[in-house]
Amino acid sequence: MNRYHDAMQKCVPPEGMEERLWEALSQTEEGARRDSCKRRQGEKRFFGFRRRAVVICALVALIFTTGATVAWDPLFIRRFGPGAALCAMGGATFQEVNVTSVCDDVSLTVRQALCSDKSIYFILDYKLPDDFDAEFFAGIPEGTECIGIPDIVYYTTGELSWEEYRDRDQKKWELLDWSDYTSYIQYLQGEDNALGEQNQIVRGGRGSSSGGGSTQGYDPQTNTMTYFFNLTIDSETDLTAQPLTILVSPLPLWREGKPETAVTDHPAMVTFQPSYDGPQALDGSMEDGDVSLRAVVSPFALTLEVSGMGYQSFEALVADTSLVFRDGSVHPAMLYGFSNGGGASSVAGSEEWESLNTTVHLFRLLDTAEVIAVRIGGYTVQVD
Amino acid sequence: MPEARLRMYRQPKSAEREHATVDKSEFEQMYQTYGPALYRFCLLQMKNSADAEDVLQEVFFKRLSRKPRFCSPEHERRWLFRTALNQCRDEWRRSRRSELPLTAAENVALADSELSLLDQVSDLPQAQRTVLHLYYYEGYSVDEIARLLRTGKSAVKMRLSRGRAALRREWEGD
Repeated sequence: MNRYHDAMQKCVPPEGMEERLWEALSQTEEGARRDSCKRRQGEKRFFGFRRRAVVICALVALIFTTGATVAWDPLFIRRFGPGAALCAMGGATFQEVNVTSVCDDVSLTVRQALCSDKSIYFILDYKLPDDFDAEFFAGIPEGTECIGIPDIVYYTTGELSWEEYRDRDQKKWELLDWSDYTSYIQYLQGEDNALGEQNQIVRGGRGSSSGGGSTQGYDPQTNTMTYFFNLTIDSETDLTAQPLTILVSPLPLWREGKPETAVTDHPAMVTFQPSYDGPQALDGSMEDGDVSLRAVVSPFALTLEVSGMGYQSFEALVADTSLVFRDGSVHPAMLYGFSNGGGASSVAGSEEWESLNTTVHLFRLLDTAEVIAVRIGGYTVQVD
Repeated sequence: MPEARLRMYRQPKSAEREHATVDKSEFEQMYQTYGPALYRFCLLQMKNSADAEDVLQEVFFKRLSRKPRFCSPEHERRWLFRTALNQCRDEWRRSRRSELPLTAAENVALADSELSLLDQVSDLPQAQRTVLHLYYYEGYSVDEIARLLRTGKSAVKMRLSRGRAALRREWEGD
């Protein structure tokens, strides 16, 4: 790699670059930037106003010409509100995926997704084995959990097919008890599984992340369980920069309040390319003596990390946090979303939390172009 | 929370942000210190000199107009590289980045083998080429890169390893 260093060393900046930069920066900033960054600023405006107009026009055209509407799954509508499909961020984040992966006796389908560079919400169908006996449900009172939510782990990959993965790891699966979380979770999240050996894990042990899932029900006609999952990451990884592989544990079958067995004896995986056509998540941090703060704002979430602020609960942190908008208005974060936990650490010997991190999952899609800062306590963290 | 501690960043009102003044001596000092390194980093990401310069202008504007305060020169350096990387990503997203080979500025004379090497590195996935550049050109340690990219050390090591392996395969293929 010395050759790389030497070659790069020769790539001196083009002649006159310093002068051009200064000229652009020093002329009445607004005017100069309008000239030199015309393309970029034009596109920013496009995102704000023109895209809204285009999305709405496209919707109107669709409705009038075909009678169709944007086919957002009702799950997304319920989660983000009826206006989400029509807003600019709705158009930027929505993706009709419809990718199915047949994994021997089960199959996974990612139907639709809402995605940004740091967050993803998606609808996952898990088709049970053909020999699954629907009689399993007989006698179980309605509302009683009997098929649990699978554990899922995300990898940035795309290179390994199901068949290759299966052939490499099948022997390991025989040693695992798929009804026992403690037996398999290390395998799913560990580097000794074939996906982990070759690809970067984005959730499950390394890097901070926040996510969850919920069961949406069983369809006896198609023998399919439907789930709604979400993930927000707090690392440098861009979820849309490469295909995303979702590794799913076999569904646990419950009896009398605890998992008894699993629908099959192997995990399943599905890979697709998330897409997003909006601005990157906004990121800002600051330090002041023992205090340090960081905030990341995406259309779906507000991620907070604080240290030395004295907060002793996530609720207190979120309650003390506000979003600062471009128009000068300031609104409490808790009006925009909710937090259901996070991480905390304390200094050895102390019973008080020294640092906290949490993710506020937003109720509605947020146009991040309108946010300029996050206020935590008395500190204001600019984000860009 | 005492009010005197509150503002680390100078925060002009939104209307003022567009009119923030830029001091020439500050610009010159920053350009001399970071300009060439940031330019090379952006060149690797954007693959051509004009786009790299465009990104650099945006990074300088953010740094000089918003005037964030830093604890140390290293803190500032990390901020600049991270902002540059984010800016490059936004550019890719807007422009659906070109697949053309890397081209340096007109005043740069590179042997074919050198240009080919730079192109091979710039063709690696973004995560790999970024850590390779920071490690082999900028001389950052794995710890420092992890801090800069806000990711784990093992992820950095993995990207270095994969990047090197990918280049090795290219060279063996040649």
